[in-house]
Amino acid sequence: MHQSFLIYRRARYLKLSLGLMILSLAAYIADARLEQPNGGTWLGYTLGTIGALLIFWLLWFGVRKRKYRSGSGMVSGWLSGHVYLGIALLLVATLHCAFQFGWNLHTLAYTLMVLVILSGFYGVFAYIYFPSRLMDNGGGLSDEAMLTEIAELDGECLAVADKIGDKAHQTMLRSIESTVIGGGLWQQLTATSPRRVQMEAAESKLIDLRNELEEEHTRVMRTLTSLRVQAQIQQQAQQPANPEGSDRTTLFMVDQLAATGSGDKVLAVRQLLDLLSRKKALTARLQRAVQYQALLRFWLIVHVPLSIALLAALLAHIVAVFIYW
Amino acid sequence: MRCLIRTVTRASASHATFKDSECLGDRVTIGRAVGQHVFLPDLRVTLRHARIALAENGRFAIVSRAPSGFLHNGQTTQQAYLQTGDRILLGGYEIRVIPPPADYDLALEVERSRSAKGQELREALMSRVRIGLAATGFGMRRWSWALLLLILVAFLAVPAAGLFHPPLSEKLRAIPGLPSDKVWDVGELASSHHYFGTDCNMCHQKPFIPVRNEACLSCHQGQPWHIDPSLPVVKSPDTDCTVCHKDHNGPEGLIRTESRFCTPCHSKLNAQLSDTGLFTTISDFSHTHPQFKVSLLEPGAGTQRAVRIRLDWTGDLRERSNLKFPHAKHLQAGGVKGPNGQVKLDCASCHTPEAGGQHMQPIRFEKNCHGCHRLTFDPTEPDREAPHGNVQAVLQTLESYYALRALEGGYADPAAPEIVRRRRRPGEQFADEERAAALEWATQKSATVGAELFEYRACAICHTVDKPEPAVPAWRISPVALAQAWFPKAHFTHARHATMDCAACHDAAHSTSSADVLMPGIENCRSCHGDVGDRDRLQSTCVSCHDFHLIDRPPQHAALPSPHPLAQAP
Amino acid sequence: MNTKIAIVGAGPGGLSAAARAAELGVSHVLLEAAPHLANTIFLYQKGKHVMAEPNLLPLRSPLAFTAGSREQVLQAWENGAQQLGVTHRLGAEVKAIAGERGNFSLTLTSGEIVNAECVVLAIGLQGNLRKMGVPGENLPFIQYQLDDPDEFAGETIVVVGAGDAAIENALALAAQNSVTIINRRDEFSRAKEGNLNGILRAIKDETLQCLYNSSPTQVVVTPTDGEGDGKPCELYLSTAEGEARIPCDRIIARLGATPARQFVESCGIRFPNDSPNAVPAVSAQYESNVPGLYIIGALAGYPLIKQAMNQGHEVVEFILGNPVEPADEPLLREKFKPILEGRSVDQMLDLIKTTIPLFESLTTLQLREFMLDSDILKPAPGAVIFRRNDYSDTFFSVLDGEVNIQANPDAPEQTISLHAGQFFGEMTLISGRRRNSTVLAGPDCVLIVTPRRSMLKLINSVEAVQRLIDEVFLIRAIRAQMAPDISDEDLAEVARTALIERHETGQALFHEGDVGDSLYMIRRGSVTVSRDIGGRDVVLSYLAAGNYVGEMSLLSNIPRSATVRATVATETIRLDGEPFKALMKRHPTVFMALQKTARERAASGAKAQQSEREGGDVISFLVKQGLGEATDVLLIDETLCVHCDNCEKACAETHKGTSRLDRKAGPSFASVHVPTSCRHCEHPHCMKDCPPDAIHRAPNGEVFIADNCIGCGNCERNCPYGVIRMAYVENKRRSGMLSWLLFGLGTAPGQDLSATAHHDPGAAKKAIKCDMCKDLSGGPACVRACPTGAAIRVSPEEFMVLTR
Repeated sequence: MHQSFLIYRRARYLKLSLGLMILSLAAYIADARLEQPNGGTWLGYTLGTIGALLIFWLLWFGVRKRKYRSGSGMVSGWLSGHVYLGIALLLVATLHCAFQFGWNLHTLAYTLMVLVILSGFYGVFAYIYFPSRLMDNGGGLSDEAMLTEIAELDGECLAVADKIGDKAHQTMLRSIESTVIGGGLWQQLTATSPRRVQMEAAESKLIDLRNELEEEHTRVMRTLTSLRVQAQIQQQAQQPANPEGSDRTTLFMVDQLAATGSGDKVLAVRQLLDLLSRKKALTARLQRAVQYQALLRFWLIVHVPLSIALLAALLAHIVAVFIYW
Repeated sequence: MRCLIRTVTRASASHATFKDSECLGDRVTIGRAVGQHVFLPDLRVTLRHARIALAENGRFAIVSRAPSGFLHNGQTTQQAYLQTGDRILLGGYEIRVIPPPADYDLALEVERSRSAKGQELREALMSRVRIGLAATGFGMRRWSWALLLLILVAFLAVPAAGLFHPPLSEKLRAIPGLPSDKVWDVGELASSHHYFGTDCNMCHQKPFIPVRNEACLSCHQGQPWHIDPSLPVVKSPDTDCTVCHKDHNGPEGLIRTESRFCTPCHSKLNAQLSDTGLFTTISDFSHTHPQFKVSLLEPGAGTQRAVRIRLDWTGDLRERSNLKFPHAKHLQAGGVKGPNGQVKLDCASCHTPEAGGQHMQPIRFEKNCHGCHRLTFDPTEPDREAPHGNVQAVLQTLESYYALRALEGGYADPAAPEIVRRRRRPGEQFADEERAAALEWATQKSATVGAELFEYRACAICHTVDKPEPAVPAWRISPVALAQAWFPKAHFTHARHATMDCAACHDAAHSTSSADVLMPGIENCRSCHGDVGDRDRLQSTCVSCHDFHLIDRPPQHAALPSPHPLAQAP
Repeated sequence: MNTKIAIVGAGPGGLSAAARAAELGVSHVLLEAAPHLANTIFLYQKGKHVMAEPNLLPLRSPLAFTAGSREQVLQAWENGAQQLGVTHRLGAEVKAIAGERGNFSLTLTSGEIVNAECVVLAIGLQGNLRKMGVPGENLPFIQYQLDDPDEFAGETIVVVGAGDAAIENALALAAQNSVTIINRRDEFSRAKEGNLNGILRAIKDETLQCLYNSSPTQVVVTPTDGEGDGKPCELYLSTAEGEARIPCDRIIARLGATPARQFVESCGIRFPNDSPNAVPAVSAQYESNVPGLYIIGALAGYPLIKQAMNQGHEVVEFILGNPVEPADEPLLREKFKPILEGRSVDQMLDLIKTTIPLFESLTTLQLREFMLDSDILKPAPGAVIFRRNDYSDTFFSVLDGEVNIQANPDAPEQTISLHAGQFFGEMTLISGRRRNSTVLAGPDCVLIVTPRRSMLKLINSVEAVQRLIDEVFLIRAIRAQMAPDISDEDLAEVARTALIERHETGQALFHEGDVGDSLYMIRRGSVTVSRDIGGRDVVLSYLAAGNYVGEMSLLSNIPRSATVRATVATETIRLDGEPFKALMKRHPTVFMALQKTARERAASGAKAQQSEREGGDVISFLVKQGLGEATDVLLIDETLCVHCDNCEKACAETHKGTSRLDRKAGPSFASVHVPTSCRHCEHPHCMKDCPPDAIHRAPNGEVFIADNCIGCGNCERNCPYGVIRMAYVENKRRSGMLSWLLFGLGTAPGQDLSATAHHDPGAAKKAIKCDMCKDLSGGPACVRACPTGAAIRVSPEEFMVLTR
């Protein structure tokens, strides 16, 4: 039902392009037996005209895909033609120049064209490869949804950190602030975060904190146990004489110690680490989504300006050729 | 000023408690430090974060003292004027400016913002999120424009400006790295044109006008035309040079040799110039090229006029050179008898190539014949020879020789008078009669020997000799009219065919008469040469044999003079 | 208090009646529960444009009324009422009406009793909005309706109520305001699932506060010197923990309404059926079954302002015994002109009634109304009335002559003729699908053409019409689907025992393993056929309306081999097995047809089982997304989608700068993504309640909103798929593409301008939705603009077959 642009209408543009390539090649070979191939021969001019028209048409795609009201065919058809005829252009232009290269405007135009087409090859690859990756990675969650969830996790982290204390709060705050997604072109393409170190530092700090708190908790528990044992011994010893008294003091102390809540804090830090790892996974997923999208699109940064440069070089090439006819 | 600070605490949304405090003084301080008027116990707030004071214009201004600033009605800022209804977000707190009750200058409501928290965290997160290539600032439009303009300026506008202002052009060309019209150079010039250097305008004189002949002819003066320009077939003579001469194809590539530059015309000339009768339809070599015509000198016209006769002419195709030279006799397998015995001859014995190897050197008697054909005339003196080439000189030589021998005496000839036979003593005087008799004999003798030489022995072997008649005082040797340029319209180079056996083309071994035309026909060439595209034979184009420019030659339909030295003889 | 006429409800109808009474000097009283005249219009959003439909109908009222802004209309009425000296009482809610002609007593909520000789009921359909019932409930800070949540920003707002309306309002308001929602109970039990999730999430996120187990006790105006938090009013609540006080700017109480029907029935007025759309029958003089009690306006089935005003005028004349030519008389005369032949309009109406049995049971008023909506068509013999596969949805009654139906596309020469008195077009009306035959006009053909909406209204209000249509539908459906050559007599037994059954979404028609031999014809909606495979319900196929299921058991007497479930609200015709078997015995062709279908299905079912389960899973997923009732749906293949948003841009560009689809939103399954975009349902939910009748289906099936949308938002609420939005229609000029492409100036092609578009402050939001680019050649712009071929628009039937 869905039909990829590569096989649009039974790959009619692939066939068209192959036809054009075969025709050009045949004409070139036939002509090469009669004369030295060159851009200035009859065939050279013909191939050059075809190539120039192709370039103008290929560039028109940028306009056509934005002419949303246009009734001239499907954009997927245009893209299909854009891809295949772009490939044909590579051959047509190469035959036009008859493999004659030099340090001049003409070879510049050719080089630009090759670069544009090569970036286009990558584009085709990206268009085929990344949508599925994006789909698998996203799992139905949009970027916005992931961002919202990350913000929610941030909120939960802060709320939990508040229960622990200033230090945890500040660590958490720093960790939150070091959550950077996307960024510059390089960061988006490589899915690297400039503040990853800080983020990991925050996590290790939390682990330290947990260990600290666990130690403290163990210490407190040990003290509590020893106090209880002491109290029991005393109770047994003094029961007949003093039914109340010192064991009451001990029990009071036990209560006090218990109220320090070191146990709760340990739990809270564990919870925090849990949240943090969830967030880390989610952040990584979002980073990956951003990366895939960047990889899906960054080639356009090369493709489009270079095609405009190609347009300029092509115009200059045509004019220059006829200035010095 | 008197400021009301109302702290709102909500246990839940419904249970709001309001706690008022008052602050007097010239400023309201806000921060996390104890003692601040507005005390905000939040870690994101610095100890002394901001303060509010009456500004000069009578309004209250809040100024941040911390670099992080604050959110004023949703905008992060460092300072702002306050008016009723404003909201300031600081850390987790919201400070609202409410209408001051009577007697108060300013009233602030401070509340730990609850609902904003999630939103705030999201906003904070969003400020650290940059997704999408648009956010990276790589504006494609900017790059596109930059490249577009750069290329148009550097590769079109600037070099083109030089066209209108030649000094600029020269300057640009002179300094490496500047964009001059060098960038338009499509390829290396032919080596002969290298000397132009970077001056494109040597040939490209006017923009958008293809290179004209004048540009070429400014150097190549006097370059002969291919045809008479007055002929009606000539089209656009301005561009004629560039039809065949395309430069910028590297050191070797200046001349285009393809036949298709010739055949379009030559396949039509027949029709176009039918009245001349000179042309046949020629569209290729293998099939339509006509049989070769040899240039034979017209009999009786000396070397001045030649006729061109097709080799396949069924009429009397004979060379009338007035020379007797049976090739077969000279090339006998056993050799020929020479003065010094048997001599074995081959083609190269006589035919040696010119320097350059294109043509053969002219045959000279002295060089090629004399070795065998000695011009001796007196058996008593076998080393004495008559000169070659001049009848009078021969006669004079004979006369003076025999006069001398007569006067010397001692000539052993029984038919001679005694005076001639008798040996002379030194100093012996002749009587007048004796002298006359001796000279009489000498004259007769030389006449006899001359007749013998001319008519039987030396000259007549090779030359056609007319006997003296009353009207003609002496023998007459018919002038030798050898065709020097058999195929004057083509250039055949023997040197390039040196590996071939001469007999492959010239059937001299069976030629018994010098009238035989030993020139090979087109079929002979076709056995090795074919058109472009011929797989089995050597691919040759028109210019492989024919010159386009007729250097030092008159137009090709005129006859050619022969350079043979005998032609100049009287 | 004693008057001749008591008019209940000061809406357009009531106001007009009172004005006419005042003009004629008849003693009257106009009782209005709300504090304003014309309260419904008063509650319109400021500056909202009020339409004066139908345009053709002349206005007959002492009050002026032309299309204009809310303010203009209200001002005109207020002035008119004042000048004519209308006796009115605001805030007087009638609790009960008792008595008979000449002696009615109306009890007000205040306990006061008003006596009148006649009563005109003009209370509309909205019913009375429930109020908070606490002191201060009528303070200006409190509103019981909310038209545009975007109107408020930066306010503290308390929303009272726990129903869908309250939740929707609270969520919408929370975007820009600080909102507290008050729930009397400890959970939101009445809310739809979506709303429930939304509100719970919002409470968790603290985007709004919720107070459970709390009920308002009073609302007070904040004392100027008190601790009012700067808010104009304070709401006091009793909560489980004690009293609470919320200072706020505004209280929005959404406590529902007392349906009008309840009250109307309490007055002794009978409704024809239980349909929520039913309206009480009234005579040509607007008199109900209770003599002396007249009903006008929306309550009588006339929702338009102008109609109601005319009726108000007329009803007073009728009460006074004055003969009045109905206002629509000239319109009907014009309409009947081609066939009138010297008859009067009344005679013509009689003729229609006697000729066409379907309309026999209509009251004259209903028929007039009906005819006003309908058109008379006199096609030339042989003219095409509609073609097979057209998406037109009008209903045709044959008044004279005949029409020929080509039911079999392969044999167009076989036609069935219908004669005067018969009707056609009911198939599409019921199934919501394309026409299944081509209809050509016969000789002397005169047709009454009725729009879908008017026909549905008639079906809902007159039971006899519904019954008649169902009967005819049944016979025709059986004949069309399996027994084309069978006579009516032969089908009679099958038809007699046939039953129309309704199935809710997800309900099974029958289960695998059930014993039963009845055949089900799907007449609207669609079903899935599934089988239990390895403990999982695997969907094997999808069948839309116009197909039948259950033939396997009927043919072979074995238990049901699969489970058949309704994907949407579905109606089937259940044909009993025995009479059908008898029919098959008599007519082997029917048996053969059925057997052929059964064989084909068995084969494809087996294939479906062998193939991967995913196909079936995709079908169940799509069915869950409402594709069961879709005619055309936008599907995106995620393995091809490069997230370029060209589809959205194309949509925005071709639709005045506002995209009607949201690519990212919407669920995905496997690689199929269903973006938020209109599905062009068979029975569009959005069409259900459109006051200006602005939503139509184009001949090719596109459901679109016409320009006469008044921005009421009903369609947005009615759409279960959230594809209709209310938006300001852009009036900003879009710049040319070139200036953007070259210099980045102006608007980018396809840029969504809804956020930035300037709009007149007086302009109203209008409903926007996908119209499948019906006005563009080449099909939907979203699909055409997709560079990779990821987006397609397909009918679900096609897709679900190809998914396998």
